[in-house]
Amino acid sequence: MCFQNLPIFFDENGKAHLKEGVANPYAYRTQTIGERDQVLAQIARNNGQLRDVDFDPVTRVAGALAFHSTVNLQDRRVVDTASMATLFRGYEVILRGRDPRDAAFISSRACGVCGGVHATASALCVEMALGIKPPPLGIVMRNLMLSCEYLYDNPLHLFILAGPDFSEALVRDTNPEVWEKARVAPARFTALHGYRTVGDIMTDLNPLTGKLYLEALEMTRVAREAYVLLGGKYPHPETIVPGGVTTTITTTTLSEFYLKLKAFFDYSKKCIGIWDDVYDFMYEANPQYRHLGELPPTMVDFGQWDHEDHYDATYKNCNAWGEKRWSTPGSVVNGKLVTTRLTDLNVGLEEFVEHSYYEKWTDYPFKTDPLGNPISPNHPWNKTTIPRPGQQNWKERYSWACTPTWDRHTFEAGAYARVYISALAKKLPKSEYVESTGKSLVFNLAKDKLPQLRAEWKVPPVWNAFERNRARAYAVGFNMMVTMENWVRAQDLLKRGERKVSTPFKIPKSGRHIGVGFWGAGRGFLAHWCVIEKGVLANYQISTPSTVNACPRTPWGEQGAYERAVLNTPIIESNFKDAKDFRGIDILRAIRSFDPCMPCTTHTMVEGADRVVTREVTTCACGIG
Amino acid sequence: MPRVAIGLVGYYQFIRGYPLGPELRERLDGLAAPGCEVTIHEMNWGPIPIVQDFQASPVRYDRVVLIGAVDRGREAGAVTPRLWLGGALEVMAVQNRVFEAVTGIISLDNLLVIGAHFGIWPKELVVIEVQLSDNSIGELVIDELQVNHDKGEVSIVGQYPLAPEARKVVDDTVELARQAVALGAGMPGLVPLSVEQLNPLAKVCHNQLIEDCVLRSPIN
Repeated sequence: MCFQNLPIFFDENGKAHLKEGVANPYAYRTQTIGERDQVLAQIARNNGQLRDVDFDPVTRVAGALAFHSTVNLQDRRVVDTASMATLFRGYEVILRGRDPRDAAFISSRACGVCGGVHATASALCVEMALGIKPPPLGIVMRNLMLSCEYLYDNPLHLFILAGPDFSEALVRDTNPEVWEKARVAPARFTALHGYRTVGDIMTDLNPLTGKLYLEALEMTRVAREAYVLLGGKYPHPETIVPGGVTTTITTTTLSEFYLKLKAFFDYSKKCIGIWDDVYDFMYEANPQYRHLGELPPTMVDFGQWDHEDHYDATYKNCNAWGEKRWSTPGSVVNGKLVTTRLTDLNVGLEEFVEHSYYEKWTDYPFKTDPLGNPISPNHPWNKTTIPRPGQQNWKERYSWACTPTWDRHTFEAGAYARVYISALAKKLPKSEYVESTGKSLVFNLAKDKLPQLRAEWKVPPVWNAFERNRARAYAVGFNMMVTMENWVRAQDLLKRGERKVSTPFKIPKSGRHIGVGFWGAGRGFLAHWCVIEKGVLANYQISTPSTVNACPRTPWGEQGAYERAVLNTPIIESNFKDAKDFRGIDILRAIRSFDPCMPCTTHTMVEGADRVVTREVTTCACGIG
Repeated sequence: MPRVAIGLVGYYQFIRGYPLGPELRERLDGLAAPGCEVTIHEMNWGPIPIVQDFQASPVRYDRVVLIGAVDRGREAGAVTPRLWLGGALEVMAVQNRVFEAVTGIISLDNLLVIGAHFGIWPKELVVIEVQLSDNSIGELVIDELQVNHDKGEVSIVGQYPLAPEARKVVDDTVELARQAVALGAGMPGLVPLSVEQLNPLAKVCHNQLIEDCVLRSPIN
């Protein structure tokens, strides 16, 4: 293991050290406004008809995300991009000074879609800080609840959020030539989904009326109902606590849970068949689609689904229990797996605010992690969230999202990252349901109405919007079989007489305790960091997948994942005469491939930014607060 | 006995320190509604789960009262009762609201449209709209940070006292909710609300097209 950019080396025991002789190891170069001007001037020179790069101010944006692209329609290229989170989240501020037991309940509200994952990341973070090891059944129950969130989230993205972009209604409108081909293109996986042509699939992807659209909505209900059987309530469960869960589990509960989720055996197969057919067809229809949202694969994921025999909630052992998770933690840089150790992931993380509406903080309380590995002053444990609202300026500050980096790279987060990293790492615990080969991920989808299917996701030769979506389709099957693994384990634990699902604890009123909850959301990478002092939260930091993907440029000018992916996107849309009827479907497909979920990136709005709080907020005292 | 649901859109009861919501909830819990069976629903999540909850529930409400903050450009603190009249929207106009809904955004307007599309609303739907000042939450959050920062110490966050103007908002909202529960479409002062009057959706993508460009050739 070595870093490319941070001046850190690892000794033979894997411990990190700062390289000697580096005066200011965490210094970085900041791109000046003059340098940015030069970039823009170059864009103007390269685009003859562009007299001036006159960026829209995009004022008074009512949503949580605004994405600005400058498009040269003549060359069919995007020449500059900027991703804005338009609202301030504030949970880091809201949580300061509160009882640590509040954190799971409050941070759960960071998202109106996937609240359980925040509650769990928060519980993990506090249990690490305070040394609370949950009992095995509590760990397995958390896994099952997480699975439900993924089984709810991934189909939602595939069919409700991204799916309509591949529906007859949209394809016929934006690219009639593609629709004409789709209409007669035979489907390859009819046995899995029943459709004769790709056109038939696209028709049933139509928003609000298509059978696949409506079926996906129904499946999200099934997954949520399964969650409720274990967690009592969803979204925003109140049964996830540091030390486990507060729910009563019996064999009857587990049987009901199984009966609910059983529908996903065949649905997983269908998801794979549908999206393999659609994306394979799109490549054939126009090979340019291979470049849509294309990026070198650079991604980070913390892994999820703890193994009850290994997880002990300690930072000291986190590399060992992390690598025993049912999806493997790791970092992939330019397609190569760099590490699977959680401490390496933690040590390499930094957050920058030079292009965000925050003040730079000056405190540097933690020079190392609890194991003595050096951490940056920009690490979340050292970060203080200090909002500094101001006017938007593309060259300076333009987003409420900060810029997370790992080893000074911006990176991607997503459900696909856990598929990708688990496939490359070859470290999944032994299971009859899932297997990592080092190049692919194999899972045995059990027989239901459809026969058993041995599905295999292979690392693709290109990494683009379609492959993100395709990996997400395979993630449904991966999730389902991890669910089965944990369901069987839960049954075994009950048979052995295990009933305990949580470990009681007390909040120490003295001392300083730090923890990190390495976890994941349906949309990928998620972690919470806490510092507990005198019995209350002295600092709390949340890093979410949409922050990772939608972030603004780094101080040194490297763009975030959305920005870079759209910049690489060719404009293939064909059915428009001029700017007025240009739909920007290719740009939307690129952005939606990241499964954008902005509320966890952003929340409330403050004075000086020309926006109103009343409709964007999901939770925090919200709406009416 | 008519069954009435009150939906608190975007409200969360556990967060201390920002008292308007909890106070409103407590007051509504104690709402006297003789002759009605009233259920209060937390609606602090996206419209799709709310639609599914309504669809799955065996209870069919005779009347729904939604309470939420929304920016209609009124004076801060204004509380307005409205009668939902619905209206027709094109498929993509509804889907654009679904796009927002499934990215986690909670919005009274999206809930009205998506709920109407899936047919969950009863004949009588009263919406109590609260116009907050632009920066109400942001200011509270930043003030709180400032207090902690200035003190240079960590302490349990205390309750902010309810400001007189905030108390008036709660009083007005509770009174209008009481009337809406009891009288529904028959309550005085109801202002009609239809899809045409909802706030337009925000565009996610802002594509600035380089001017004077002419397509060299169509792609196919």
